[in-house]
Parts: sequence; structure tokens; C-alpha cells
Amino acid sequence: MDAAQLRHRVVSHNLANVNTPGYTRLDVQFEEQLAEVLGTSQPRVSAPEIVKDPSGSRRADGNNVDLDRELGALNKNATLFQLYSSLLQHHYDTMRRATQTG
Amino acid sequence: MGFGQLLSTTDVAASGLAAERLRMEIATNNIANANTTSTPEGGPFRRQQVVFSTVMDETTQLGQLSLNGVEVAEVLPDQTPFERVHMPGHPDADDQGNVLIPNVSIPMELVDLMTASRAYEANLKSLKIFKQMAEQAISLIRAG
Repeated sequence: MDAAQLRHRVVSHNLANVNTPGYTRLDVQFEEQLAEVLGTSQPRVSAPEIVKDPSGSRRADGNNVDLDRELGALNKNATLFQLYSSLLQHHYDTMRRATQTG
Repeated sequence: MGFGQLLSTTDVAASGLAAERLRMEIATNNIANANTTSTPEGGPFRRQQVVFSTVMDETTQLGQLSLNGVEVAEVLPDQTPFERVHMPGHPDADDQGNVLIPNVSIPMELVDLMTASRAYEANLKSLKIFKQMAEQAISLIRAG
């Protein structure tokens, strides 16, 4: 959820800078790193990381923020956040049931 | 993530809203003055343009970037030369009957207005989605 919230912040920052000349969009890497760490023998919690993303075409003013792409990322991220919060909710429910039954 | 940071995404989106609003104001002012031939500084009205700059701190806790959205760095006059139109009856005409008219082009301003309004919408959308996310997070406490 922290990662999703950070990503929302980063995408908001991209959107705020959609008209800043020379701005390079930022992205958050978390899921890829998590998958990598889970594959190893010693899983540990990895921190989300902000990276510059120079992909996509640059406009004449050197800015590579695409409004549609950012809005897509925003929606995707909101859905992910919903998923994470439901998972956490489920976890809490399970714990509550366990304490009540005992 | 501390509580102070929890809602700080709102500030990022709000900075975008404020910047785009100022851009719209400047474009509207340019259109309103498209035919102003005399100003207090003398000469015709000079088209104004905004310069945006990103607000970012590289050196904060944990080496993470701290993102603070966008700010308007400055409002600069457009230095393209004025057009000269022959209007002998005009009060601002020179000896040859020529009048300098502002370097504002209406189509350009309208395009600027359109992009500003789209960017404004995008920032608003981001604010709405963030509100949804925050409500979801808060509902976790409520359910417990």
C-alpha cells in the first residue's frame, strides 16, 4: 500500500509537470524488485524506488510526459491499491475471527 | 509513511492545479489585450508567457526524492517583434501612419488555453483518485 501511495504521488508529480520544459517523467519500481527478492532463498522486504523513465517520445520542449499514459497509470495504481487494502482487510478479518472463536 | 506525508500527495496535485490556472489567466489576459496599442510602459502590449519548473529535492531522508509538484518560475514577455499596420487615423500612429500592434496570436492563445484546461482536468482526476485511496485506507481502521 505504501508503494501504491508513493506511485500515486509520483504520477501526480508527473501530471503537475506535464507542461514543464525538459522534464523527464518518474516511475516507481516495486513489484519487479519484490518478485526478484521472493525468488531468492532469503526473502526480505524491499523498499519501493523512484526511477527516471526516459522512454516515450519527447516533445519539442524536451518533456516526455504523456497525459493518457499517466492517467492509465493512475487508474491501474488505484485498482492495485484497492487490491492491497482488500487483502489487508481480509487479513484483519481472519485475525479477528481467530481471536473471537478462542 | 508518516501521517504528514499521507495526505501530501494532495499538495502535489494542488500545485499543478494552481500552475495551470495561472497559465489560463495569462492566456486570457493575452487575448483580452490582443488589440491594446498603448500601455503604461509605452508601446503596444507584449504577449506574456509562463515558465514552469519542477519542485524536487534530491537529498532527503533515505535518499528518496521528495516530490513537491510544480511551480511557476517566472512570467516572461514574449520577445517576438510587433507587427506594423498602416492606420493613419489611429492616435498611436507614427509619422508614416503606421501602428505597432501586439504580438499576440489568438489561435496560439486558444491552443494554450485548451492544453491548460486538459492538464487541469488531469490534476483534478489525480486528486479525486487520491481521495478514493485515502478513504479506502481509512475504512481499514473503521472496520477493525
